[in-house]
Amino acid sequence: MAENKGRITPKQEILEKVWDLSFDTGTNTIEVYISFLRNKIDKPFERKLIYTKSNFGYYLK
Amino acid sequence: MTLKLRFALLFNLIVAIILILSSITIYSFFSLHRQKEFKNKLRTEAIISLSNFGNNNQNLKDLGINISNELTEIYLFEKQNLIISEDKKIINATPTKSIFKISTKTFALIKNLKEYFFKESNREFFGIYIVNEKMFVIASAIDKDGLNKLANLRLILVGVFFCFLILTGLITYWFVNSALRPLTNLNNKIKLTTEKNLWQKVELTKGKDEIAQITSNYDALIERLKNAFDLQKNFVQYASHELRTPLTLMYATTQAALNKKLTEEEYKKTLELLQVEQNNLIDLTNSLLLLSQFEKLEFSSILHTFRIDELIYDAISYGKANFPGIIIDFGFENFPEENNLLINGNETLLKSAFINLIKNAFLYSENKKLSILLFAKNKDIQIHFINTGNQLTESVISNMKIPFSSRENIGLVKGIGLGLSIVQKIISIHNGTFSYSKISTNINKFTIALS
Repeated sequence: MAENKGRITPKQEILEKVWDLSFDTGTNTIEVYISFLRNKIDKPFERKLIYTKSNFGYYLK
Repeated sequence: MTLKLRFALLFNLIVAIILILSSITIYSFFSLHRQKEFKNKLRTEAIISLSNFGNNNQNLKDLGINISNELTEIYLFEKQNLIISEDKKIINATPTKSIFKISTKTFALIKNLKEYFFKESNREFFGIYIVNEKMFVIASAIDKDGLNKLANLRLILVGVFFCFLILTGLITYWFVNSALRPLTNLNNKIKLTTEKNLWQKVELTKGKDEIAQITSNYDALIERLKNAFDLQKNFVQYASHELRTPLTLMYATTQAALNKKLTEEEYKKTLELLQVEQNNLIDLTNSLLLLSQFEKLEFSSILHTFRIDELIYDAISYGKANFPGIIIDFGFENFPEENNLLINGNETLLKSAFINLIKNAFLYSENKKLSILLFAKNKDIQIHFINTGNQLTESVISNMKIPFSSRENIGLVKGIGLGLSIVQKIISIHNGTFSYSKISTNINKFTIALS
C-alpha cells in the first residue's frame, strides 16, 4: 500500500502479497489486520492515512 | 510393630491413664474425708478434755459447743490429751505420761489461729487456745481405723488397676484382631497375586466399611491397569500393522520390478510408488516418535509467547505446500484486540497439532476444503477447524485421545489414525481442550480451546 500510494489495493492482493495465500475474501481477516494497523498508525494521530474502498480494498493517502 | 499391636498398646495406654487418674481422685477424696472426720473427732476430744478439766461453760460456748449434744465419749487409738499453760507447763495430761512433744512454733500457730490441726508421722493433733484462761488444749491420737481403710483402698485400687489393665489389653487385642482380620485377608490375597493372575479381583467383603472401600478401590486400580495394558498392547499391535503394510507393499513392488525387465518409464513409476510408501513410513515413525516424546517432556522449559494467528498462517502454508489441492479459508469469529492473540506455549507442538487437523481435513473431507475460524477474547482463544465429510462415530469421539482409535472412521482413505490422539495430547499439555462436534449431516467441527 505504501509502494502504491493513492492506488486502491484489493483485499485479495493484500492476502497474496502479505501472507502469500489466497483466502476466500468473504472472511473478515483483512478487516481485522487493517484495524490492527489503524490502531498503530491512524488512531494516535490527527491525520489519517488508511482509507477504505467499500467491498474492494484499501489505499493510503 | 504391627498395626494390631500398636492399636492395642495405644488403647491400653489411654485406659491406664484414665484408671490412674480416677484411682488417684478416689484415693484423694477418701483421704481428705478421713482426715476431716478425724479432725472433728480430735476437736471433740479436746473439748471433752477441757470440759472434764472443769472449765466453765463460757469457754465452751466461746468455742461454739452445745454441751448437751456434742460431748459424747469417743474411742480413739493411743489418744493423749494435754492442757498446757501459756508458759508451756503441763497442767493436765491424760494419760499422765506425755508421749509427744510440741514445738514452740506449733504453739505460736495454735495461739494465732485459735484452733489448729496438724500431723506428725501417723499421729494427728488438734490444738485449741483458750484466750480467757491463756492455756492450750491439745488432743492427739492415731486414726488406726481410718489409716487401715486407706491402706485397704490403696490395695484395692492398685489391684483393680492391674486387673482391668490386663482385661482391657486382652479384650482390645481380640477386638483389634477381629476388626483387622479382613485387612489381613486382603493383604494375604494381594501377596498371592503374581504376574500369572494379575487381573484376578480381590472381592473380599460386600459391606460399605473402609476395608470394603479399599478392596473395591484395589479392584478398580487393577481394572485401570488392565485397560492401560490393553491399550498399550493394541497400540503396539496397530503400530506393527501400520509399519508392516507399507513394508510389504514396498517388498512386493521391488520383487515385481526385479522379476521382469522394465522400461525407464515403468522403473520411474515403481520408484514413485516406493517413494509414496516411504513417505508413509516416515510419517508414521514421526508420529510415533512425537507420541512417545510427550511422556518425558519437561513442558515448562519449552514455553514461549507468540501470536497464534501467525502460527496458523505457518500451518496453512505448510498444508498448502504438502497437501496438494487443499483449499483453506481463515477468518476471525470476532474482532479481537491484538494482544488477545498472544499465547504462551510451544510453537512447534501447536503447529504440529494444527497441521494434523489440516491433514485430517485433506484426507477425509469430500471437497478438500477446510475453514479455520479464530476466536480471541481476553485470555480465551478458540480455533475451529470445519470441513465436510464423514462424521466421527460416538466411540471414536469418546476415545479420541487413544492412538489408532479413529481407524474405524478411516475406511479406504490412507491414514493411520494417530493424528487426533496427537492433537489431543498436544492440547492437553497446553492445559487446553480439544473437542469435536457435528454440524448438520456432513460437517465436522474440531475445536481447540486454549487460555
